Amino acid sequence: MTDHAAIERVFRLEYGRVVATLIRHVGDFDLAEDAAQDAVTAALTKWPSTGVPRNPGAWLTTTARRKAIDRIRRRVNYERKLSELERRISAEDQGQDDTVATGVDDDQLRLIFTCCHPALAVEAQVALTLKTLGGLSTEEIARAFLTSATTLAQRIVRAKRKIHDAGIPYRIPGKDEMPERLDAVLTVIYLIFNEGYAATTGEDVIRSALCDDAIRLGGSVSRLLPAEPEVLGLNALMQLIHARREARAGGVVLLQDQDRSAWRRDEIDAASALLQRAVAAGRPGPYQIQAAITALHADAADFASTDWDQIRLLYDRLLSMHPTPVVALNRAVAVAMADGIEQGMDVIDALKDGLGDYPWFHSARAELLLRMERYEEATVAFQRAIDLTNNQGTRAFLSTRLAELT
Amino acid sequence: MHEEYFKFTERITARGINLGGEALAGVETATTVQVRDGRTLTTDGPFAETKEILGGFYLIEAADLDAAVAVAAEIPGSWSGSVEVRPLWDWQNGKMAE
Repeated sequence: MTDHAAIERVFRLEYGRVVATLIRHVGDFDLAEDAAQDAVTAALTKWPSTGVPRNPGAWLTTTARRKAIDRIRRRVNYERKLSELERRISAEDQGQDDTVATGVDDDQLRLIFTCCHPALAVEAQVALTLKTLGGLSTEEIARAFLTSATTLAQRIVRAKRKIHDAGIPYRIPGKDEMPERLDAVLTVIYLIFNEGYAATTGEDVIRSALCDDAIRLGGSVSRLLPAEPEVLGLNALMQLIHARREARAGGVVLLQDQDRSAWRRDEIDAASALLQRAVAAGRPGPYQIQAAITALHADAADFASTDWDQIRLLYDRLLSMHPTPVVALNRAVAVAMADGIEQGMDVIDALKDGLGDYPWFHSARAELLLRMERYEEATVAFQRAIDLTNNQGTRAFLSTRLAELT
Repeated sequence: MHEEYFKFTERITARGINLGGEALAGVETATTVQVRDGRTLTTDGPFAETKEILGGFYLIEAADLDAAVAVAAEIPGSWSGSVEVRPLWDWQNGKMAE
């Protein structure tokens, strides 16, 4: 396994861990990243002939540490820092060989909580997390979020400066801060997933690579904090949604129109098992509930046999935890399906003030109006939804729905 | 409220992290100074853009931002209004103080 693609996969997997450990050693984001890049370069020249080492993460960490020392050595005024660093590393290397990487997990956790610190703007949290933990390049992140690489690079530089200047700590939060801080981490991962799942701008509706990145990050957090049910809940949720990707390919496809045989049954089963583990902890939360709703859809053999009563109950619960307009809108659809279209319509109309500019509000209304055979109003609602969306795939889908009507 | 502030000040002093601080008189006493083209413009009132009013400040010692935030959360003003946390500028080294 020495081909370029295999090496690439190893990097994606190990990069975040290597950087996390290095930041602890050198106490400097930029130096850690530069040294990790040096190690990757070294691996790229070496591994094709020697093969990938047995523990590539440890190899990369050791190499990166040496590269970090090289870099510091080159800067004369860092003499003091160098001896300090060498002292710390040699102390840690006592009686420890390269294949055992103790403390690596904690390093990664520290880094996650630093990147997702609430003192940073959310966009900065997302960018930093993808860069340092996801191993994505600035260009890749810029492409995924449709900003210029320059803007994104500035955002990252500013975030790193704030981490340093404001004294954002590199540590795992204490017990009392944990719920709030973990929530911030999960929000970042879910934002990354959502941008991949339902892109707000651009041409493609699903940007699958971002979904994969989010799922990979979620997996790391869950491995590091195995006892947190909401982490499991988020992972189950993302995997359940992602299992439907092939049935959603090529544009927006409504749940009722999806080819359910294209859903990845094995992935759904694995995600459902995760959800069961989460629920067994007896500490419900919004991610677990959303995952449960998605699991009910996944379990229905076809759209008609969906358990809408159960889904409606779950939405009631979600709304009481998270009273946001978007949750209320989704609940309205569940009400329409469980209790009757008119009841659902009443709930939707009551949400007009908060969601007037949200395209999915108008498209959900349009779909219900269609079922009530109020075609003219449905046409107006679809047109409003089209006017409000910036994603070309979504717009194309809504236009097709509109064209079918007129 | 005064009582709460008194207790807070006592607590941080006991922990040895109270480096100073002052309360400011109300904004009706504020005067804004701007020098433009060598001329000093003095106007009454706080900065025109000011939406929130600085009532005073504490200078505290904290290991990192989380520690500083924990102390800020003890300031009674943060229970109804807000408290802004900022590091001190280190004049000697031209960067933020460690």
